Amino acid sequence: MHVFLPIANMDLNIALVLGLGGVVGLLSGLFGVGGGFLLTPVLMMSGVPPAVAAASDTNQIVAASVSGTLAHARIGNVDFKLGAIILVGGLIGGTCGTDLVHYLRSMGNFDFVVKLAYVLMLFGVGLFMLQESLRAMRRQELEGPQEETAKPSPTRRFMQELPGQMYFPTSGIRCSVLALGGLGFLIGILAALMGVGGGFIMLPVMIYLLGIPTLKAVGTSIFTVVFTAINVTIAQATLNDTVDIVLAILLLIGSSLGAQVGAMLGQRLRGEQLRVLFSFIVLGVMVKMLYELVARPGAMIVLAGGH
Amino acid sequence: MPRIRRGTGITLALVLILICPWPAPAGALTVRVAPELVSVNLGYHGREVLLEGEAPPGADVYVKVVSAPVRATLSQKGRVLGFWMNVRKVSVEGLPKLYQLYTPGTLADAPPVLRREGFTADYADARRAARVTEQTGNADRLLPTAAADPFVASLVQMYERKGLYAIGERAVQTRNGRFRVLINVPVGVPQGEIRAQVYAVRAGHLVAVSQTGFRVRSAGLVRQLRVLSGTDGPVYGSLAVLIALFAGALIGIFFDWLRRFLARGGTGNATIEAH
Repeated sequence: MHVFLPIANMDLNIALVLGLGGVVGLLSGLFGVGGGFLLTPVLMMSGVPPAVAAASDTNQIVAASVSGTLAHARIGNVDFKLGAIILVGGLIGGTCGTDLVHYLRSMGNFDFVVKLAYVLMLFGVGLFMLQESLRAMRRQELEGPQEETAKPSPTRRFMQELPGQMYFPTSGIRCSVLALGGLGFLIGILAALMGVGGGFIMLPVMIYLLGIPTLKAVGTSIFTVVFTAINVTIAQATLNDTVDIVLAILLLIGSSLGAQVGAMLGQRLRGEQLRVLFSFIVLGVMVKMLYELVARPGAMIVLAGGH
Repeated sequence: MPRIRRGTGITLALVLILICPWPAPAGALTVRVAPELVSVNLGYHGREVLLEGEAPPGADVYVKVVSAPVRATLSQKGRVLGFWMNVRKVSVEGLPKLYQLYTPGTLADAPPVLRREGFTADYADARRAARVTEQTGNADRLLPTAAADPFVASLVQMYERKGLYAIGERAVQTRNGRFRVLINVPVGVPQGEIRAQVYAVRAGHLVAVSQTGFRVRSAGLVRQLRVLSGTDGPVYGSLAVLIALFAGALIGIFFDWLRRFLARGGTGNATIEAH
């Protein structure tokens, strides 16, 4: 059964859209990421114009992240106080980042530099997380179950010495408000530069730089994604008229259900198991982007838009 | 009294002449289209429009269906330091989004006189009016024909894959001086007036030309959403966000209720402990 999409000006199979939303929601609930990296290209392959695919995808992320936030909040995994501070920094960073993108674009080859930098960053983060979590798993096998407390890194120690220290009982950490706001600002800038939600950057930062336990980091990350996605949806609808509500509604039905299942699945996994899975996804995305960079494209001229 | 009767008779005759359908002169090309309005709603999956009429005796009928031009933005990929990237961004204007040719035989059999009317396999007539502008930084530059051609050709190919550009060979059927052809109106058809140009050809000469058309209009929810999106982006965006927030919260609450319900039912492992 097909449905006509008013803004995309095309029809799509309803079951296909619901299924795609479900898979992305599962990742969202499991890892606290938006999932735009996966859904936008698949929608484009289904014939949705790139600009509409990216904008409608962001719209459905609002629903998946709200659903995921509720599921994680119920089990005490969302640190609202910490998330709100990062969010304020992130929104300011996102706005500054948008201006920065405009400036850098005028200098030429901006997309190339950003894409290459993103691939390298994903490679570094993915490999580091994989190594670290595999080591933690091995340690657990040898020494038995342990409390999830990674050794404080020099960066974390530095952050603990900054002014404006505050205790966050949900995460069980003490951290500088300035450092959190600054991190949010940097994530906002990176998200604007890369054209993605920022979940990929947020989760490793929370786990390794702030020392938040993995499950709390997932819950808090997905909480911040709600607001980033709202911001982008309204901006896309205002500036580009590219949000297709009908497409987004179908996607969000699937993704909200998937997010609930993802959050439940996450509870059955240990922190390091989640980090291993996440690192595989990060590395997978890196390989996909690298392949797109080196493999000859099927068509040299395509419709513009997308992430 | 007889004068009155005679006057009434003349008036009646004049009324009859005026209200009776005026028969087309023998050999004229007449065209009708049904339906005249194609409504695009949520269930739209493409449809066919019937074009029929009377053709001059012994003439073959050819039909060209064209929409208004629609602007499209394209990216071109190229190699930068060994990596494939988007290296150019252009916008194509002046190219109709729908261009279909319907013939009674093969297109190759069409008489030369019709080639001048756009009956060619490469859609040269549609492509002729296309203008390609390259967007570089804050400046736009109109590309010369040779540089513009690959972009126009690529866009035409994309439209062809969607059925918007098509050649319907042997699609026009003629019997006893009447012709009929089914026009395919695929998903992705632009809104507005779609023009159908009908040509009657006899012995290689154009003997008559007629024009008709139909309208494509969005209807119901599709129309309301398009109008809101086009006229009030912030309100449309806020509506999209509200729907997403409501749906996400509703599903979250439902799952919470489901979990509690299952836990009450004694399934045991339905209760989740925070790590």
